[in-house]
Amino acid sequence: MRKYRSLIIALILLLATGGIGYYLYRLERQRQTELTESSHQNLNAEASALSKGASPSLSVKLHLYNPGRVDPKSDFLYVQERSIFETDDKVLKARQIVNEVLKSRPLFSDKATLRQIYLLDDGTAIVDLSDQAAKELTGGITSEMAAVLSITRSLRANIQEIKQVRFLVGGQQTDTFAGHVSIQQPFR
Amino acid sequence: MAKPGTYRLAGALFFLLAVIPLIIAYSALNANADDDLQIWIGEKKSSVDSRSNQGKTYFELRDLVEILHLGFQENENEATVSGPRGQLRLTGNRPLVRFKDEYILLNQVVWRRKEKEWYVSEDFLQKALPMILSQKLERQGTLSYRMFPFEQNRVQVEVTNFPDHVRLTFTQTQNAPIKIQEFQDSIRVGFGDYLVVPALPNVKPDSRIVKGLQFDTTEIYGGFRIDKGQNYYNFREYPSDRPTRKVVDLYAPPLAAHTVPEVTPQPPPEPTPPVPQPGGGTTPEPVPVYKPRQFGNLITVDPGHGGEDYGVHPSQEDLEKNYTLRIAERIEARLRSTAYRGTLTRNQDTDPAAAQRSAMANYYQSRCYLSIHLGGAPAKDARGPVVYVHTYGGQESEAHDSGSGEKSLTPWDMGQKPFAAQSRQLGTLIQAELNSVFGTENHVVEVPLAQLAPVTSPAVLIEAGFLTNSDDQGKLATGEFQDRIAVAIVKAIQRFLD
Repeated sequence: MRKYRSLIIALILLLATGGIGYYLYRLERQRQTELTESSHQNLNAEASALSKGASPSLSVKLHLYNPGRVDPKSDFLYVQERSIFETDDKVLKARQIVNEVLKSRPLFSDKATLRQIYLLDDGTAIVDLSDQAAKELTGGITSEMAAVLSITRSLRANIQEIKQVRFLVGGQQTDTFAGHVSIQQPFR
Repeated sequence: MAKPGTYRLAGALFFLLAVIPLIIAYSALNANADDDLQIWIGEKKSSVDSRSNQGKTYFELRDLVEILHLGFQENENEATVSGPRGQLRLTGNRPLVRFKDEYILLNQVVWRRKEKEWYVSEDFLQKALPMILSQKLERQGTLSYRMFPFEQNRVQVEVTNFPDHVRLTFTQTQNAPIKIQEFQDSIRVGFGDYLVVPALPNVKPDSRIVKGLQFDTTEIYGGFRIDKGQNYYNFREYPSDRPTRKVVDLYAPPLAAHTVPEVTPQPPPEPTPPVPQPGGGTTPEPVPVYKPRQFGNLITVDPGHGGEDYGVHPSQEDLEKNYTLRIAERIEARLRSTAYRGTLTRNQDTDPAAAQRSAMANYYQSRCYLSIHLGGAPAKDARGPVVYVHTYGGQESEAHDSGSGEKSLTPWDMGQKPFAAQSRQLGTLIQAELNSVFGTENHVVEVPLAQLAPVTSPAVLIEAGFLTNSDDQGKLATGEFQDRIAVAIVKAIQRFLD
């Protein structure tokens, strides 16, 4: 046994190094898997929440653009009731409300989508719309105000916690919504 | 004491575990020593012989010339390499390569080993060769290059002459990074690694500020050279909404502007002599009052949109940007018969950034600012003129107020705040005049408008009818109706300012 002592020590060291390396590798793989699963869970949560009921059952009041109007202070929006899937999650509720507003034709094009909504503790909702939602609006200032105000008022009317709405376009903070109306400040 | 066999075994293990990796690492580090350089053209790979000289690696120039189909001439200690786009002149034992009137500095000297045997360093391929090639030579990895056909970048230059500055607008077809470098006598504009195809302007720049504008072939892939005139003072480059465009304003010194009506500033008051005090001291001299130079009764008129920004466009023939320019030009023409003068933020089919348009109004200390647009709405029955003024209400203001009474800089987007009431007044007058023209009863609308927020004078945005309404569209298509709009706006301005 003694004559093989060096050999045994060397082998043990080799195995130990290999073992540590393999453990670190597995640790990193596991971390990556957890990150991926976490993002999948979020999407799955939304899907399962939306499919709880057999059909949409929660009534919400949407503030939609009143065609022909140009002055935001004068009957610019009208109220319409719609049904969405019931959910306790405010973000999911907000998503459904905005998605319903984005169905307004011809104000928004069919390529207009909601990228993400974030709800901050101070009552600010950050609505991140796709580039097409802004760039393919049919019209000028009237359309931009209609888009911004209908989303803002619809969210505020149905989710108490939302006090103001900030807009992002394509994930970016921009000076204007589609070239005219400033969105540097939040809307109420 | 261990047996000899144990030591042999330990030695063998040590060799396996320590020495072999060292050998491998050493080989990897020295993999490039005396390795040839590879050039790929399409699927064909060619090698350029390498040779070591004083510890540095060189590559045979004749191989490069042959592979890249270049011309080569030698004259004793000088060599000329000719390509489709020019010639490079090399001198033995010098690190400088000459291209036209420019010198390119290499990391190593050019090595003339003997007659007709020249060697160059690798950075010759990166810095000098691209100047004369008609294709792009791109480094793929260690000692590996590939030839690519150039992507062309058509760059159009537009010149706009203003009273005190020259505006150059560069519009490119690619998204190349636009680099501007100032030299003693010139400013160079480069466009990344696309082959520039220039489209020079028909309008000549004001020669007092810009002596010349030419296509610069000394840039590797082409660029532009702006020669400074004797009245040149400084330049400013403006970011654009699109990466395909860059605006450069070249200025004369501030006192050089003379074509815009100017009010001669009052001389500062004579300092009063110090009054001797009973105690023997004196009162301090009053500080002379500085009066900023004024441009006179200038009104800034902004034709909305332009260039690639069509604005509202119900069809390819009806583009908002064209209407706004025509109406703005008519407003400027009408202003000439009044005590006021108009200046446009654009007089061509260009698209200055919103901040530039606002900045122009502020720079000229305009009496008022009008941004001309046409409306568009999802519903076709929205019609008539609508005048907009900026509002800070309905949004939470995040502007900071020092509150201490100290003078402080005004945040950019708060410039309009002191003028809100005047803007509403101006807007109301213009709305009333335009309603008479259109036969409508629309009202002034207050919305947060990014373009008006920074303006430090009464400012309105006018939508002179809706292009999405067939009735308005039919009227707007006629010059006569556009003129009526201009007359109405000028009348309202006079009522406001007089």
